[in-house]
Amino acid sequence: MIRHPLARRSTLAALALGLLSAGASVAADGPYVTTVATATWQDNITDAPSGDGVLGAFTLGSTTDVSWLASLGFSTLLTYGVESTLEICPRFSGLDSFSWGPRISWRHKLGVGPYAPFVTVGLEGSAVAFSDHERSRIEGVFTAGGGQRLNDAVQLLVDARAGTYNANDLVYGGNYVGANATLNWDVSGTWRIKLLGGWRSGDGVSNYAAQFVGGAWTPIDPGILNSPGWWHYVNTYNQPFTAFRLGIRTLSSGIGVCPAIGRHTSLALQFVRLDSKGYDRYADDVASASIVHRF
Amino acid sequence: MRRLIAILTLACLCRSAPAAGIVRVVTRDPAGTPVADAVASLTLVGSPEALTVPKEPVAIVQRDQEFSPYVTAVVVGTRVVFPNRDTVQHHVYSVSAAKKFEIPLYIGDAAETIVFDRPGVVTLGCNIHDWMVAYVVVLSTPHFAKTDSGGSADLTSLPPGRYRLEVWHPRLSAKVDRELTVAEHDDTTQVISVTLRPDRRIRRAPDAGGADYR
Ligand SMILES: [Cu+2]
Repeated sequence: MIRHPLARRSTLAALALGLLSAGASVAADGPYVTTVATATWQDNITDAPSGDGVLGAFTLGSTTDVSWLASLGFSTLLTYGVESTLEICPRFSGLDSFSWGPRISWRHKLGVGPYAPFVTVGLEGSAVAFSDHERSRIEGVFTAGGGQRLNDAVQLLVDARAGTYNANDLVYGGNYVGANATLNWDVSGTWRIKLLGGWRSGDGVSNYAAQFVGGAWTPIDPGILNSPGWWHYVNTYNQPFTAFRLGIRTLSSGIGVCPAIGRHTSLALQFVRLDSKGYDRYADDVASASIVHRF
Repeated sequence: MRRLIAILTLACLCRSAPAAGIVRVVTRDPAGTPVADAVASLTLVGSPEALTVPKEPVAIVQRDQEFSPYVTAVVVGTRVVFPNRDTVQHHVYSVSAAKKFEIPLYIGDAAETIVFDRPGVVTLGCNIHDWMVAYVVVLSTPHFAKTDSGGSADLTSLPPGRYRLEVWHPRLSAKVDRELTVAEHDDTTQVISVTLRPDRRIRRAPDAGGADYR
């Protein structure tokens, strides 16, 4: 049912080599450093269907991106660098993680001026270490996107992603494709309103509350056992759960405000609702507050 | 005798080159706040004056991913250079009718010098950093000045005559155009009330997500 991701990974590696060799011969600007500190509340961090097992939790995260720019031509830029993220979940320490990985993206502007559209193609790799060792994984993502400014206040950004990840435990591995659209509306020099929409299809994990029956942990709702794929008992959430790797389709929609605090810093407040359909339907509301600083 | 000749010569000179006048233009918005970066120019009505093009090029610098100065006024024919004092490359361009040009990505002193050879307003941008903007006001009169932070601009060495006074600003909502007469030894102040549109620029501050770039 689930394809082994090796074939896809070799394609990603070839693309990465191609992009890197394109940038190797040109002088680069940088490094440019951007840091983001985020506090996030998820009301269904377990991705559990309504009923048993819906648990909420805060996570605190800090991301640092260090990147370089190289010009490949008239309106073509290569950006490459490294991003690292530390995430702490005070309620469920098994979700604490540290990720590190290189990224490279090619960007071309179709014309001159702020209203010319641009397109991007990129690759992202990351190694993620979790406190719950079985979740630790390596991941590769191919990205493609673009943007168009409609006027001096409104910009539309779109991006598509295809990713593959291999975890220590098969339940936490998989492949996915997704697409996102963001409409940024700068209502004043300070205030930005964001509308967000997204779609993702691929592997994901949904957690079902478990009980100990007949000498083994099984989901309280036995219907899920009819779904194909890997599953096992997890104790990440301080109470018994069974984690199921499922084919999941998620639609997301959200709104945000992003006031600028000077030229280099912004605050971002965002609310996104994720509606997913795996074996069952479930929702996860994600509210976050971030401070972004570009040095 | 020598003294008499000197006095007579001076008298003749005074007659052929009448004493110049000064016009101070003060720009304020309706609330009385001084308006900086406005370009005030006086054009002699009827007879075009000879222009002296500066020998050295005028510089518009790029520093901290912004142009400086924000507004530059020059006479037709002036050469302008765009030194990049950042460690990041810029791609300076204009798509304005008065001067279309591009200087593709560079750092340091660009090889190209741009000659602004037609009157008009030229909007400058950077094709990498969309928030970067600056203006070059190209004038066909030698009498112009840019208002300072106090909203004041002094136009000096004005031969007596009838002039058209124009004021330009990037956010001006209505054209300012009036006539005035400058007499010998004049030292007058013209207070111009200007209404400015909101300062809408492409946002520079970073965002938490999306295809942001620098
Ligand atoms: Cu630039």
